[in-house]
Amino acid sequence: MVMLKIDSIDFYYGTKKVLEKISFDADDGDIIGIIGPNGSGKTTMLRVISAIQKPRSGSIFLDGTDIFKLKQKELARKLAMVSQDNNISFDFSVFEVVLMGRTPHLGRFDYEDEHDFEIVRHAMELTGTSYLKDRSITELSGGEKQRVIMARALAQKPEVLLLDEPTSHLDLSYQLEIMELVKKLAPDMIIIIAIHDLNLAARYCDRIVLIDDGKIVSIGKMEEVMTRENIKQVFKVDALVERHPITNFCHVVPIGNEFKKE
Amino acid sequence: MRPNRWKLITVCLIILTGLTILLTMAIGTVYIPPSEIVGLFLGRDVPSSHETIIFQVRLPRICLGLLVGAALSVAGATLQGLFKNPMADPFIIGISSGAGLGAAFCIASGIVLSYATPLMAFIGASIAVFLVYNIARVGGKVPVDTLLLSGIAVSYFLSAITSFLMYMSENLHQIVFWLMGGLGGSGWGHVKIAFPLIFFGILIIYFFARDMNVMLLGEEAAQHLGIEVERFKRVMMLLASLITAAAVSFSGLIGFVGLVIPHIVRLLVGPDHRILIPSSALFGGIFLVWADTLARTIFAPTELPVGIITAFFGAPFFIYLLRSRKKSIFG
Repeated sequence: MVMLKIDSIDFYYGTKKVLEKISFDADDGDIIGIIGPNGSGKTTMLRVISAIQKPRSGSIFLDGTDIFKLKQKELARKLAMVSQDNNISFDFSVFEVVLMGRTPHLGRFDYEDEHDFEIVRHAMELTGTSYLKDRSITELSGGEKQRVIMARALAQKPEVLLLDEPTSHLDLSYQLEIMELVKKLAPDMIIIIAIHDLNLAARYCDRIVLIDDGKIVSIGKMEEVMTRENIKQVFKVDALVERHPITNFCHVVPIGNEFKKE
Repeated sequence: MRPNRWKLITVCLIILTGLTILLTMAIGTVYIPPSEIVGLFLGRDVPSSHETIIFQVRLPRICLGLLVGAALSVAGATLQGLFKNPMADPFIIGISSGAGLGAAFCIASGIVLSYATPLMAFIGASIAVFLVYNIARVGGKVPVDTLLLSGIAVSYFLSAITSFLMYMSENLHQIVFWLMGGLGGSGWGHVKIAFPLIFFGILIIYFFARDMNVMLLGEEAAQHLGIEVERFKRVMMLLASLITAAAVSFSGLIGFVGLVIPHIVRLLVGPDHRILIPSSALFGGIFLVWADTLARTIFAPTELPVGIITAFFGAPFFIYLLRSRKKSIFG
C-alpha cells in the first residue's frame, strides 16, 4: 500500500509566500484534483511534491520516506510528472522519447532491453500513441505531444503520477480519453491532477483540493468542496452546481455576475 | 535497429580515420607513396630519411590533430546539448580567452622552457572557466543564460589583457600565430600528455551520453527522470573544459571545429548522444587532420595557421548544409 503524506508545506519564491500550510494525504487508488484560479499555486504545489522545489518548511513522505532525502533517481522510480511545458526541439522519434522514461531504472552502463521495450510499448498502447511510434517528436500536435509525454511518465512505472493540466491542450475526445486513462491507472497508483476544468475534476476525481492564494480553502469529496459558496469565494463567479439530469455527473455552470441580484 | 545503424556509422568512420592517417602521412613537401608507408609498418626497408619524416614529423602531428579535432568537437557537442544552445562551442565558457592570455603571457615574458606555453595556456583556461562558473552561480544553481553571459564578459576582459600584452610585446608575431592555432612542431611528447586527458575525458562524457539525451528534454523534465541536473551540468562542463584546455594548450585557438562539426554530425547521425559523441570525435579528428594537411602544404614550405583553413573551407560547407536542409538545423 503506497501512501503519500504531505505535511504543512510552506513555500516561498524569494520573499513571496506561494504556498501556506498545505497538508493532505493520499493512498493508492486515489485520484486527487487540485483546483483553483490562475496563480493560486497549483503548479507550484506539484513542483514541490515532485521535489523540483524545496519547501521552506514542512515535509512530504512517500511510503514513510522523506522525498527530499531520496536521490533524484530513486525518486524518479516512484514518482513521475507530466508538466505543461514540453517543448522538445530535437529530432527524436516518439518511441525514443517514451523510452527515456526508463532512464531512472537503468544503470550507467545498461542498455535498454526487451523488458524496457515491452513497458514502453504498453505505455504507448495505454495512451493511444502506438501509431506515432516512428514519427519525430518535433512534428506532433500539442495534443499528441501531451499523450506522448504521458506515455513517458507511465514508462517510469511510478507509484505517484502528477499531472499538470493534462487536458489543457486536448480536444474534447482526448480530454475524456486521458481522464478515462487516469481512471484506469488509478487502482495501482496515486494520481494528483492540477486541473482547470471543474466538470472533468468533478467527474473523475475522488477528492478535490480547492486552493486559493496558496492556501487550502476546502478539501474533501466533490460534493463537499464544489459548493456554490466555495466557487463564488475562490473564483469570484456565481455558478450553478447541480447533477446533470441525464448523466448524473455533478456539474458546474458559471452564470456570471448578472445573477447577483437574484 | 538503431544500434545496427550506429555500428555501421562507427565502422565507416573508423575506416575513414585509418585512410586519413595513411593518406596524410603520404602528403607533404616530400611525397612518400602510401605503399611505401604500409611497407614501413610491415618492417620492410625504406630510406631512413623517409622513416624519420613519417615517425618523427608527420605521425605525431597527425595523432595530435586527431586528438585536438576530437576534443574540440566532443566539447562542442556536449556544451550545445547541455545548454540547448546552437551557438555554444568549447570556447563559450571562457576557455579560449583564458588559454590565450596564459600563452600570450608566457610568450611575451620570453620564457623558453619546453612545455611552458602549453602549461600556462592550460592554467589560464582553468582559471577562466573557474571564474565564469562562479560568477554565474546563484544559490547553488547555474542558470544557462547567466553562464553564457558571464562567459562572454570574462572572455572580453581576458582578451583585453591579451591584446594589451600583444601591443606591448616584442613577440607579437609569435603570439598572433599561437592565437590563430596550429599543429606545427608537434612531437610525441605533446601527444603523450594530450592523449590520456582527451581520451579519458571523451570516454567519460560518452558514458553520460544517455543522460545528455534526457537533458535535451529540458532541465526540469530531466530532473523528473532522475538526473541531478545541477551536478550533472557541473561534471559535464568540467569534462568539456578539461579536454578543450588539453587540446588548445598544444594547438592554440583553432576555431570553427568545435562549433560546426557537432552540427554537421548531428545532421548526419541524429541527435542521440550515444552516436553523436563518438561520431563527433572521429569526424572532428578527420576534419582537423585534413585541414592541417592543407595548412602545411598549400604554401609549403610556409605554414598557414590551421584555424584559417578550418573556417575558410568549413564555413561554406556548413552554409551549404544550412541552405539545403528545410528543417531547422538545431534539434
